[in-house]
Amino acid sequence: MSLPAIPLTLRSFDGTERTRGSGVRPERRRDLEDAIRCDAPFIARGAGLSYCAASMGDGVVSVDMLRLDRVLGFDPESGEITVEPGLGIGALTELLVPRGRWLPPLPGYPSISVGGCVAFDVHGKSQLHSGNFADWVTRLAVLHPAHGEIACSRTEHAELFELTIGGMGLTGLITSVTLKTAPLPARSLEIEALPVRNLYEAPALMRERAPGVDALYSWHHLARLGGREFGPGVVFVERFVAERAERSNGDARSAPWLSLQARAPLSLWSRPFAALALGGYRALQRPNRKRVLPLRQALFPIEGLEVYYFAFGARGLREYQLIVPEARWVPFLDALRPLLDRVRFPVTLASLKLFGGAGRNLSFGGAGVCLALDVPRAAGSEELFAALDELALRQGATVNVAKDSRIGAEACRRLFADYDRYAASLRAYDPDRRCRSRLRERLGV
Amino acid sequence: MSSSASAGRAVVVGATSGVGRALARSLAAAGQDLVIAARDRAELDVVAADIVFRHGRSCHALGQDIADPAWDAEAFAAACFEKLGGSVDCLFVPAGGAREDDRGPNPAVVAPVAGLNFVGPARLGAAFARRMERAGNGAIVFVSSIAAAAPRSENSAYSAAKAALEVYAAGLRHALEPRGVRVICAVLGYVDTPQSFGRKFALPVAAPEAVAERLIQLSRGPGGTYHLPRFWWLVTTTLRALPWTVYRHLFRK
Repeated sequence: MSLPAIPLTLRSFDGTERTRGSGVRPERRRDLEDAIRCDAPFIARGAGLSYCAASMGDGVVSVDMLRLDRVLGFDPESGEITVEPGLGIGALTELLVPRGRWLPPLPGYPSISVGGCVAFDVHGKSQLHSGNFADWVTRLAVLHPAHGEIACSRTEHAELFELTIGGMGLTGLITSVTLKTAPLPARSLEIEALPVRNLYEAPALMRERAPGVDALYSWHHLARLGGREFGPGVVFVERFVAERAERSNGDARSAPWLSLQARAPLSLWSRPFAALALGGYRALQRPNRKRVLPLRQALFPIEGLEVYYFAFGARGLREYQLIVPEARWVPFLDALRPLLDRVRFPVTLASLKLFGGAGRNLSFGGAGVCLALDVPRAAGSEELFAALDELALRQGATVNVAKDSRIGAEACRRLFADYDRYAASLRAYDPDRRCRSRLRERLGV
Repeated sequence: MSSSASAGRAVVVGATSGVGRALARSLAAAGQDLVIAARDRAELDVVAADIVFRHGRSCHALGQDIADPAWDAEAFAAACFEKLGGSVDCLFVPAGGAREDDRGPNPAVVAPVAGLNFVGPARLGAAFARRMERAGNGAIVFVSSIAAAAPRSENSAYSAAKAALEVYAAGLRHALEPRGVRVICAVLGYVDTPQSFGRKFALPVAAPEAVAERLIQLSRGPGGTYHLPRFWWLVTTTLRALPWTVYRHLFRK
């Protein structure tokens, strides 16, 4: 019996790309082989929260992996856990916490799947402290119609392992993921808010506070109407604490009332609204205030903020995320400010993280200061992002292709030193391009 | 994860996908020890290991194809009772389905579809009934479908098998109720399964987890036929009352 593939129109999380393909949702491991047996190109799909069209394409079968969410093994001695790729990171955390373990490099929303984390080699709130997801993956199994199911690690089929982590799902269906975990220091986190005058000063303060804390990141107000400082904000410093969170109801949270993928008919993010809303948020961040949050609330800060994405409306949003070498941070900001001064739409999010290590393939990595910018998709947003591409190139920055629905092959070739080697390896592994997505088409790999 | 005292003992047949898998998880989460069964032994082992890890309950996997005419239902029931220490509080039979029946009348599919959706569950019910009768308590939960009330040209064998199962369940209920064994037949509407994935329906689609919770509630109550969700009773009753001249236009392609 083969699974029925149903025609599906899918939209990227940022709402800017739409594809017409088909979809299947296997519930058993043997269904996976069925799902990719036909000649159609396919791609795995997790929670559907990739900003870009990574899990969809025109004429492509999107294989929904969310029902493959079982735990395949756990070693209580080492804490190593093997799971299927459809398991959400929130559910994984709920399984690990009672066993005194956790997985540090967690992106901010619990329904994101483990498979998606592997495919984009994601990072958490504080990459400097917890590294990339790749640093925690010890073993994978990958299913491809031409190669069968192959178990791989850094020592066995190492090339496939390297090609799969951060490989955007283009090596086949990941069927299992083995992860290292860390001892969980406590079930609450204390968050301290440190005011910072502008974007220029934030990295130095973060660097100074980085030792001895468990995570740190910053938020900046770039939607102000006027004002001398460029991006006044707050650096958040997090530490595990034994003290119990005040408003804790355990680690559980009720289901969100709004889907993270829901969008209003029209964008609500005008400049005056953003100035008011973000100014209000900043005013709430009392200097040097310390709060203690339950683990889940601290690990998944986007849960409960679904309305932020809803407000972008049907036209969607654009996110630009890049890592700027620390030595280039000041000239980068000097060039960024006039670009942002010219636009007529608000920057609804500006946030910094410190990064360490090096990138792989086309995934997001390297040492420096990571800046994320969200803007509504509006007249002038494409021009702004094209200018940011040029700025990134001039300053030797790395961009995050997972967050970007428009960056093309040429820009990628210029921005990623590894581009040609990665594209050649991928073509050698999958010469018939059975694994396909809109993202693959756009990146030309 | 230490195992606490069991809150019950249940058998789930058809536990590797959809409602069956959700049932197994929900029962284990409620503290019940389990035997789970399905055709695909390798898949079953994965489900069982996952349940043991998540909930710390015992979960025995028995590979079994209930559509196989040579299958020994008595031996299977005996094995389930033995694995669960001699007693079973509830048998759930969510096994079923008929992907191959979706392409219109086909003589080759009638027997296997009837085997999976009626003959197998009925034999299972009868085999467990004998043992539950001796204990003087227990519940048997069959899972039917609204297709039993609304046959279409594509799935007539499936609809007929489910209709037969409903009738059989009612008969079994008559036989067993005086002896303390409850027989429940749950008639499911649209459920979010691989078969319904991505399709657009005029009426709401239930999550397998929600259906599983409701089946567990039903297993604790009196015997009878129940529609899940309840509004399907009105839909199926209306469909059954329609004259053919009207009905024949409803599912025409």
